Parts: sequence; structure tokens; C-alpha cells
Amino acid sequence: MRTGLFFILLFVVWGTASATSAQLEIDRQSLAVGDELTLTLTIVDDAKEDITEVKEPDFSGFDLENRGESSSSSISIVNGSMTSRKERIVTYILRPQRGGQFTIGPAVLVMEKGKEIRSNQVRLTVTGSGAPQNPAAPGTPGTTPDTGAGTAAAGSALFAPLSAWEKQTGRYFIRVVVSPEEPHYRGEPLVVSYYLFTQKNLISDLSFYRLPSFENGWSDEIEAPRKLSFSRTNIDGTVYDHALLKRYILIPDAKADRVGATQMILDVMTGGFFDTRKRALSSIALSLDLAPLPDADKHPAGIVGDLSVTQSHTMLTLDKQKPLDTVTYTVTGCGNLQQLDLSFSANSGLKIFAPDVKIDTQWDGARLCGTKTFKFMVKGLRAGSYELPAVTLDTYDRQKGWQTLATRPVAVTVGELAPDPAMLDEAKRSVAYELLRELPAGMAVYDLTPLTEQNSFRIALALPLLLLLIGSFWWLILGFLRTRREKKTFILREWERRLEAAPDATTLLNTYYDAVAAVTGIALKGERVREMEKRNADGLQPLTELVRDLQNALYSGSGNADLAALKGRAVTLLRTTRRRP
Amino acid sequence: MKRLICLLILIATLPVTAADLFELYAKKDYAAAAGSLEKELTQKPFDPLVHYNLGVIVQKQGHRGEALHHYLQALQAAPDLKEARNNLDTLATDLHVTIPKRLTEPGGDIVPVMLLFLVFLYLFVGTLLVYLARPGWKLRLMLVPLFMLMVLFAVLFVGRYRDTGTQLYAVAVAAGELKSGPDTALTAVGKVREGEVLEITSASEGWLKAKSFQDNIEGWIHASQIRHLTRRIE
Repeated sequence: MRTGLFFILLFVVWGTASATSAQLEIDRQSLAVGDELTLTLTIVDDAKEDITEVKEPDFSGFDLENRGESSSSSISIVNGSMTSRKERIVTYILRPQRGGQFTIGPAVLVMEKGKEIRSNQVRLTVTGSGAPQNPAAPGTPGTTPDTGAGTAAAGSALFAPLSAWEKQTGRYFIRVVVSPEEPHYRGEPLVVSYYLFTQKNLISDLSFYRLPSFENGWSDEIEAPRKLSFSRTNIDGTVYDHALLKRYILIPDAKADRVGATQMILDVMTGGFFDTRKRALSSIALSLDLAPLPDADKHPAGIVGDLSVTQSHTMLTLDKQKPLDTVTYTVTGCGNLQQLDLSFSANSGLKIFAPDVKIDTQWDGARLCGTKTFKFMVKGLRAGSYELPAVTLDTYDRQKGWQTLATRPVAVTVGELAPDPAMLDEAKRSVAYELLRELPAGMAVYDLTPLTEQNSFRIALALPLLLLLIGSFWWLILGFLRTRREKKTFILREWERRLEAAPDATTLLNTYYDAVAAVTGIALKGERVREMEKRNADGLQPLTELVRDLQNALYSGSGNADLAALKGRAVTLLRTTRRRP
Repeated sequence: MKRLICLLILIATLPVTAADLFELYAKKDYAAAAGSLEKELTQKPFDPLVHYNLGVIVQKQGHRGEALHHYLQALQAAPDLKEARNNLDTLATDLHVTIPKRLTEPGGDIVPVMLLFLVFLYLFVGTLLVYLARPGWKLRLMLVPLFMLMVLFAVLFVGRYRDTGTQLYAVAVAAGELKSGPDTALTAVGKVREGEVLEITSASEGWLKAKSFQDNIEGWIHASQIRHLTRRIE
């Protein structure tokens, strides 16, 4: 990563410029062993020629604690010509390993055409000659402690010789360190740390492609540095810079024989500014065999931890006013709090609800410590004296061995209780009634027969329809009769008018014949009177008398004189004579 | 001799009396007791006592869905029959089914609507008859609102009758599947529990399209897997 930062942007600018240069400065000329020294390398780039490489000064006799870099650029135009200037400042934090006179530098800038520009050298005096405070001096392999969890135990693992997996990439690799060291016990919290090891200036940048996922246990990320902090160490004669990438706490399941983790995969950028390459770098896939805790057969429910337990009550009183109360157990300490569980067996006089469990753990830099609370709600079911038994916890700690924690029993006195409607209802419902001989007296029983099948509904619906039918029929008949009567009256009036209008006896006689035929259906014309009388015996005499009188009036020649009287008789007869069939 | 044989046949085919039923029940001859009650049901299909007793017996036989149907049917005719309600609640809890509240409550206010429909029908018919006998503009004017009111209450009555009428609800007598169509070869769209109440929406060749009250899934179920519920109409 650091190497890449040196090979940065190069502009081609025409015009006058100051020369490319490198300058080394220190914040003080003398210091004691163990003190920090700040060394600053200032590179001024005139942008006329590219810088292909920056050779840092040799820091022999010093530990490189940290390294930072900043840059700035400016463009100015003077008398029409443009000037570009770029300045980079690299700051090193160094810590001397021993006393004496030291010279640092020079730093060398290698230009595009092969020209080398050297910086100045700085001289300083380190007082004191004690052993170096940071033992990670180059050439002393495996002595730099891991500053994280399980420091002493992990130290040797962190700086152990390269494994076959790590040798595949060799110049940079990811090392997985697990603490505490073997044997790993079931349920024992493990700290899994992922470190990046790289030779000097090989990796310029990195990103996480895939983080490990753990199996057969509960895991949590406890440390993830925002900025990698590199330290230098020597493994098998090779100097490596190493930094913590991620640190996890892993608590294996109580019954798991093995825990594992998938590979962590990084995308790393290697090479110089012009030949940057992206490569994948992966850790080993973790697989750890777990052993049962020592004397596990004597402590079947034992868990790993250094814990203590307290309780909120040793006595409870429940009654009508207060049928419910809560007993809280608080377990404090470091260890496997996640898998810690408290429970009570069923009690005939009490209902002990499932506990409300809250856990609050923190990583203290070495162990996972915190508090777990169990709130048991207790409800009285029957009056009497009961007891929540003492709870015992077997805990195992590597230093302290097995310990037994015990709570005190809680005496519960249940006084008179109000009847529980829910329980009464439940009890009532649990009884199934048997056969009934008859329905209870006075019980309302409804007829479920569909309306369309009920006679009363059918009649109620049919009656108005029947009435409507009869009414319509009656109306039709009445109408027919009325029409017929009106028609008959009209015909009578017409013949009366004609009879009245007859100018002489002859016309009157002929009209009378026609009128009688039309109104009564009796044909008088051309018939012998005797034959007519024979056929129409009743009521025919007045008609035939008028015919004879008319004929006599015609023969006698006095017809026209009595015409009005004859017309009157004809009209009267026409009105009074009933129609013959 | 012939008369004697006829008499014996007649006696054998007569419904079992109440005393016989309790005797069979005491002997745990549930099949015979159920048979006698089913025979009685053909005469009195909505008798709440018969349905209740039949529910008790078929429940003893392990036919819990069928028992739930009989309790529910008994409550339609006798909503205050606490024994039926108790047994229904217990059974519904055991079967993890929900009984729609509307099935244990009165069927609705169809009678007032029906009465109003009949009143307006009679008024309309009466007015029409009077008008036919003695036509007049006043009567003709009255006929129009009467006819409209009669039609309105007829529509309301028919609608409510359909809602509260028969054959709209059913109880699944056994656990089964709701199919995507009226055929066993078709895929299942959901499941019905034993005793689950279904709303029937349509029918086709021995299959019924039903909607489950439990999870609101609609599908087809064979008629042999359900028992129709006849609701009370007040």
C-alpha cells in the first residue's frame, strides 16, 4: 500500500519551474531510547519529468511506528507562462531501538530518464542503551506480542513461521490467530483475529471482498480498525509489516464438536503506480476441534466463565391484591453468558412464566464480560406455601477451575386469590355435555324451514296475485258487457232516428221492417203473419199489429195523415221489444 | 301370519324411541344410536334436540367435524341451547377452528323486510283492483309509489333471503384440500381443517366453490367432504 502511494500523478507542464527536490527533516536532534521521533520527507515535484520511484531512507536501528502522507499542488501563471508545482510530505514516526549516533538518509527519487535525485541526510543522537522497549526488532523473529486478546498466548502464534498456506503467497498473507490456544473447549469463548502480513511497500490498497462466517457457534465482531496500524516484525529472517484486520468473538455451541469459519478474502492492490494489479488474498478456512471441558461428566450443565449470581427476592407474598410478582436473577462476569440459561420446573401452586431475558456484554480488550438478567414472573394459582428452589450453576474457568454458584431458594406464600375468569371458562369448556332427553322448558325454538317451503308464506304471496287475477278477469268481463250495451244502444238510436226521418208511410213500413230485424232479430218482411206468430209466439202481436196498421193506412190512403202517430208507435215498439235469439 | 309379518316389519322400521336411544348410548352402541337419530332427522331435519344428540354421539365416534356441524345446526334452531354452545366451543378450540360470529347469532332482520314487502304488495294489488273498478286519477297517482315501494322491498327481501338463506355455509367434516377447480386431478390452492366453516359461493357437478373463513382462501371442494348448514331466519 505504501509503495503505491509514492507513485502518484505526474503532470506534464510547460514553462519555467523550480527543480524537483527531496528534503529530510527531524523534529529534534537528540532523544532517549523509547522516545518517538518524527521524520519528515518533503518531495517537491516540478512536473517536468515523472518520478518513477521513491527510495525511502533506511531506518536501521529504529522501529517504524507509523507512516502518514499528504500532498498539495499549485498552478501559477507569470508573464503568460504556466507553472505547476506539486508537494508531497511523508511523515514517519520512529522509535530508536538503542543508543548512539545515527544518520538517516538520504531518500532517493528515481526520475523517468534514470536520473536520481538525493535528499539530504539527518543526524541525531539517541541517549541510553537499555534493551529496546518494543522487542519487535528486525532479526528477532516471533517476539512481537499481539496487542489484542489473549496477548501472551497469541504472541507466539502471531509470529510463528509461515505455514504452507501462507507460503503460497509468501510476500503477503492473512494470518488467523485463535486464542486461547488449544485445547479449545466446548462452549468456551474464542477470540479469532485476522492479521495482514506484508513485506515492505508491497500492498498499496485493500478492500474486503468477503468476511468470514462462522458455524456451530455464536459470533460477533469485536474489533475492526478503521485505519490499519502496521507494526514491523521479522519472521524466518524476512521483515514483515503486520496489522490487525478484524477480530471476532466466537462462542461455540455447548454440544458442538467442531467450530469453523469460511475464508476471509481481500482484494489487494499491488505493484507500483504504473503497474498496479488487483489480487485476491484469502485466509485459511478455520476449523477447530473442540474438547469437552475437564471433568465434564461431573458437571453436565457446566458453562465456561468466571461468573457470580445475585437475586432480587428470597421471599414473595401473593394474594388477591397482588397475584403476580417478579423475581430477578442477575449473572455477572466474563464467559459464556450467551449460553447461560435458568429455568424452573412446574409447580402445582404457582405459574412461573418464561423469563424475560436481557443480556448486555462488552469486550474489555481481553474477554467478553457483562450481565445477564432473568426476570421470572410468578403467579399464584392456589393458596398455600411454595418455594422456588435454589438455582445452581457450575462454571469453569481456565485459571480457577470448576466453581459452583448457587442462589437461595425463594419462599412464596400464596394467600386467598380472586377466581380467574379465564381458568373458570377453561374449566367449563373442558366439560362436554352428554345427551339431552328434551329441550329445556320455555326455550325459544325457531323453524328453519326455508320460507319458500312454508305454506303460510306461499299463501301470503299467492293471495294478492290471485286477487289480482280475479280482479283483472272481472274487469275484462265488465268491460265487454259495457261495450256490448253501448253498441246496442247506438244501433237502437240510429234506427229510431231513421224511423223519425221517414217521409211517408211506405218508407216508414220498410224502415220498420229493417229496424225490427236489426234490433230484435225478428224478420217481419216477406213473412206471413201466421207463420211468424207460430215461430215467435210471445210478444209478437204488437209488432204485427203495427205492420197491419201501416199496410191498412197505405191501402186506405190515409197513411200520411197518421204518420206521426205511427212513427211514435214504431219507436216505442222498437225500444220495448226484447231481442229474440 | 301375513299381518304379523307386516306388523313386525313396521315395528322394525319405526324410529327408535328416546328410551332406546339412551339405552344404546349407555351400551356405547354409538353406530346404532347415530343411525336412529339420522332416521329421525329425515322426518324433522331441523330439530335442535336431534342435531345436538347426534353431535354428541358422532363426537364419541371421533367424527369431530361432523359433530361440530350438528352443534352449529342445533344452535341455529335453538340459540339458547347452552349445552350445544359449550360443546361447540370446546370442539372448536380442540380443532383450532374459528366459528364466524354471525353463525351463532340471529340470522338477521329479514322478517320486517318481508312484512313490508307483503304490506306494499297487498296495498298495490288492492289499489289496482279499486282502480279497475272505479278508475280515477287519484288512484292512478297512488299506484306509482306503491309499485315502487313494493319493488324496493321485494329486492331487499330477496337479497337478505339469499344472504341468510340455506346452502350458503358448510362445515368441512374432514381435513382436506381446496382445489383450483372442480376435479381431484387439479392442484391444491389451500387446505381445510376438520370442522372448518366454509362459505359456499357456487356449485358445479358435485363440487362446490368455497371460501375458507380460516385463511380466506377460495377453492373447490367435493360435496362429500362438507355438510351444509341451514341458517335461522328471523
